[in-house]
Amino acid sequence: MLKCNVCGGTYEPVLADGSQYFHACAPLSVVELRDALEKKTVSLRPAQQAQLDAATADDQKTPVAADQLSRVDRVLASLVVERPNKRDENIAGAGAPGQPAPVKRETLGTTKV
Amino acid sequence: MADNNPAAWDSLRAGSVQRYLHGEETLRVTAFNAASGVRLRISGRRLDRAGGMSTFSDQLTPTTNRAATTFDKPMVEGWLLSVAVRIDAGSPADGQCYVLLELGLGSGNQFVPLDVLASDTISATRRVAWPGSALRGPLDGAGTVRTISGSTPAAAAEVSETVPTGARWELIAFRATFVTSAVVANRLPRLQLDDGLTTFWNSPVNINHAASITIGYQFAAGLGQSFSDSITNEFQALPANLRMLGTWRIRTLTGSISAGDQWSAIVYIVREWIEGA
Ligand SMILES: [Zn+2]
Repeated sequence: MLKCNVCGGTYEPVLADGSQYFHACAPLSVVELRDALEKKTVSLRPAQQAQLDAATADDQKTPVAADQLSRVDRVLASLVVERPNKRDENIAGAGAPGQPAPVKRETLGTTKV
Repeated sequence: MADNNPAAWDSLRAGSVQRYLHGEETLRVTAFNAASGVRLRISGRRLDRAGGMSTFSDQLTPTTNRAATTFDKPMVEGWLLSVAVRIDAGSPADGQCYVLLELGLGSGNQFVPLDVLASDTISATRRVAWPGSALRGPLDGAGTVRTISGSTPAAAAEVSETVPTGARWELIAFRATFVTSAVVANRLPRLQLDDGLTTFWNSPVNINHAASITIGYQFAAGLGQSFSDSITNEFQALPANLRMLGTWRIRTLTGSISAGDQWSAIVYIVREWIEGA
């Protein structure tokens, strides 16, 4: 079992049928995105940031009921924001003859668990 | 004709579909494979100008990452009578290993393809042979059905499974368990499909998932309407016959996800073909 050093996901690199499994990090969840924006480890595109700013202002002006999703959360849920160090173990083509196929994005690697 | 034309006589003697080779040509075998433990056996028969028959037999062990693995066999002058590729070790299912037989000049990076002799998926019970096999593409077969265990995300993170490079998937069914923390909120899980950039399918579940509850979410192609056993299982539809390319993704998106919420036990069934890389 391996643990991805970027997203914390755990997986078996070889599946029960013996085939290879290629992990790729998920985009940030709403919880992770909110946290990353607070810590400024990710930044949104200008149009996305404008959308978020407008939702924040609307939530402050007319708050939604406690059992409803806030406008901010609705905006955050609509955004697909990848992790800055996203790993993707998939190969990027066959590579040179006789050489291992290059991996798309290894970044911070994995830890055996 | 054959009596006064030695070349034509030779040709008739060797058969009607043989290839005359000058001896500069290369027989290239290219394999794209996803199954473990596969070794291919390449064998064939040749006839030289003196009428001598010879055979050859070689092995190729393809990688398991669907990238092209090649084997180059130098040819000698004479007639190439037949080539066959069979499984020497391993047991790939239809759609897991695809073989291409070519004649060309040079080898390695300098290989210049001239003729395609045969191309098809190969399994323990299906050989690829020239002459005999039709030229078929890697997606022409029935494919193979696989069960895949996905990555378990960290707490409060979403599920995301990516179609591997060189594969084509038809998503048949997907299952994951979602456990909510004690934080009071109604979570709204949904399954999304995207092409790596653009989300094109968004399937929200039909219930509010409250705090401290475990529910198994099951999505299947062919379901017309969502339903629930009201206790631990929720069933939702997937698009039918959707063929997903490499880099396309299967993801969850959970409304009101909380810091202690956990997705786990991600299992899905796909029909897989090999496209190669
Ligand atoms: Zn990861």
